[in-house]
Amino acid sequence: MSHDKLTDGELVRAVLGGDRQAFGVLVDRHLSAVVAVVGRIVCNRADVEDLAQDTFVRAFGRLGQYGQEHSFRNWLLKIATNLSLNHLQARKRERGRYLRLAETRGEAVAEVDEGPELPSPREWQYWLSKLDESQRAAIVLFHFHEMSYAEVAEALDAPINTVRTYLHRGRKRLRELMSVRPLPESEPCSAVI
Amino acid sequence: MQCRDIKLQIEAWWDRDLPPETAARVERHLETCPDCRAEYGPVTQLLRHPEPVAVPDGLRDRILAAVEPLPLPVAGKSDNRRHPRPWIGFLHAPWAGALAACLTFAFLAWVSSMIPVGGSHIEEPVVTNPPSPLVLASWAGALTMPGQMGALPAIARAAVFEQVVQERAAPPETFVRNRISDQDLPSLDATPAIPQIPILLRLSALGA
Repeated sequence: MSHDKLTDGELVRAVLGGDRQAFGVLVDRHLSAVVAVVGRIVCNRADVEDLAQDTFVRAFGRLGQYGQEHSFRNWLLKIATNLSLNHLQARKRERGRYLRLAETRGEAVAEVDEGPELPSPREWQYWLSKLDESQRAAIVLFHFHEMSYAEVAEALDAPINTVRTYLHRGRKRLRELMSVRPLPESEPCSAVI
Repeated sequence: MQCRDIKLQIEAWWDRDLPPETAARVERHLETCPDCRAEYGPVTQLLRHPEPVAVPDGLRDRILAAVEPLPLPVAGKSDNRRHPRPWIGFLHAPWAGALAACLTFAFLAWVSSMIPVGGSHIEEPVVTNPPSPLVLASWAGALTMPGQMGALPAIARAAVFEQVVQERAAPPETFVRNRISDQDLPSLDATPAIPQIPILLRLSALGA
């Protein structure tokens, strides 16, 4: 039987049975979603590729733990979300260490260490990059990938009410930001990522 | 539907909590009302129509190349490489319990060695002898944290009890006699005040 006609669960079982090509089909099916989640959360083109690759490598190593009762896509996006948030936390810590070091040496902080490579304000991702990481992740998963509250809560390891709060505050913040500088409707957004 | 209804229901609409008919009315209103579109349109556009994301060229092949050398996953098992924590691996070693017991015993032995031997405190003015560590520990457990003494091992509790008995064995007149005979001492109450107990001593006495 062709791999294309198999469900995600059947492909996972095939990989566990020794069929490595089945994993390639899973990559084909979900690569764009993983790249989208990582790119929208991290807001940095340079890191997207590495994080997307790490997501699949990690998923391959944990394929034996995948519970068939869950959607494979959501399971994969949970891994991608966790990796992205961890990456942002690590970068924040690194930035903090750099600032403290510069302070003790009495050096001026160089602008080159700003971290995320922000898109132009015209791009919609600019607004997302202005949100808190958890709010951004919740909005990306709930609105852009149409996960349910429960699925977002599982992906973020947070209670459902906390997810609701993230969404509410994130949208409120977006409205505040966009009321000052609205997104131009006349020009299409340039390619993101 | 009025603009004020939109204001009340826009969050629920974004949350996908509205029934389909109500959601459709909200959507129609946003399309036709310029004020509401100006207020909620940009965020709605952002949330409902995200830009497509381009997959970097060659990423699929790089992922498969990275996975290729990995061993095949086994059902029910993880590669356990997400959180390698070698620094706590020794806790699972079979000798970890024995090591913990030895360290605890050594610590208790060290604490006991700090106690003055004999009843010399009876001959000396009581107040000039600072309370021994075990007494402090016993006060910490018995006086300031009632009910916590059970955390101490039995042998330590016995040692503490013995020391408390020795310390308090001096008859009440000892205090009085010393006060009368030694006029240089500052005035004393019949019961000495409980001194400030270092927190580390409290914790160690409680086996924390």
